Amino acid sequence: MKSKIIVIGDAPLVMGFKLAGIDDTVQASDATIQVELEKVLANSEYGIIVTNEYLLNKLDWRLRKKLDSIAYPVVIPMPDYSGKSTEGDEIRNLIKRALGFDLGAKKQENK
Amino acid sequence: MAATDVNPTRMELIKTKERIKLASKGHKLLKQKRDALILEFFKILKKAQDLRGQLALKLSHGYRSLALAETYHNMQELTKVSLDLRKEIDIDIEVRNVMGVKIPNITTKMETKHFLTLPTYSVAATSAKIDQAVDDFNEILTMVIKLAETETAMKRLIIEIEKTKRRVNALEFVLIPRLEAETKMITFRLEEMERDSFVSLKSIKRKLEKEKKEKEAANA
Repeated sequence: MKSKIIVIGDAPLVMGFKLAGIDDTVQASDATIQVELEKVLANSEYGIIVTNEYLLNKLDWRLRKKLDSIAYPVVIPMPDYSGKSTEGDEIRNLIKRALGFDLGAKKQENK
Repeated sequence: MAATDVNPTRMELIKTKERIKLASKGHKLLKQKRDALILEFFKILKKAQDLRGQLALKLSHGYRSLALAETYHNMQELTKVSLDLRKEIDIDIEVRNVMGVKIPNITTKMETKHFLTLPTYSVAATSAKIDQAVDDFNEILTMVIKLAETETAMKRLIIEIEKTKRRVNALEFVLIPRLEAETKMITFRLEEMERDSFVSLKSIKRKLEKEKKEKEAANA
């Protein structure tokens, strides 16, 4: 299936990806992210949705759950300016719970 | 259901044995599913290679260079430059099915709209700050596309692994032992009943013989 990338996020994120050559961008804030994201999801043209992590946390839990369960489109949350990301931690925790050992911790030891 | 409230009948015994067979078959299959999922997971994990951490680092760089570019030039100018940089990005997403888990498979083809590899915005009117921001975000873009494939796949797989593992354990440690206890209970009960009836038969026989002897004695 042919598809496109769309960026939904705050001004810096949108500007940055515009410079990287992405044409489809939507600027959104805490209040508008839900509506905008639903609009984008309704359009099957977009395969990858790039968005801010903190905006994603503002969503209704129902929509969040839906995003977690669908395979298409793929939603990528981007970390903050500070580079802090809860998304990576979330996956690490899941791995720890499912496999019984902490993969991330091992990596840090190797460093 | 506790093992004590089963009907100790032969029919029930056959049924429970049948259930044990089914449960262990399911257990075996689920175990295989779990192993296959874990295999797939580690394949993807190798590809992912801490992409998240790298992205976070690169992104904070990108934000900084973007902020610098914004201070040297204004928003309008950046937007103008970005119009020149538009790219045709062909993303091919196929949904692959691994043991019932839907995983996106992404292949991309990036093409600039013009056949130049060098930046096409004006060199005189812009500064190196913009170049830096553009470079950073180009790198971020390729990382994001890579991440799109690995991260969602990893998340899906790990959730499914956990579910399957729970099911395997429930079958192995709860359901199958319980059913086995039930069959044991039923067989014991049946044996007990058999002995019971055997003894009562014997005693009845003895009684009957005694009566017969008494009658014979009375007749004689």
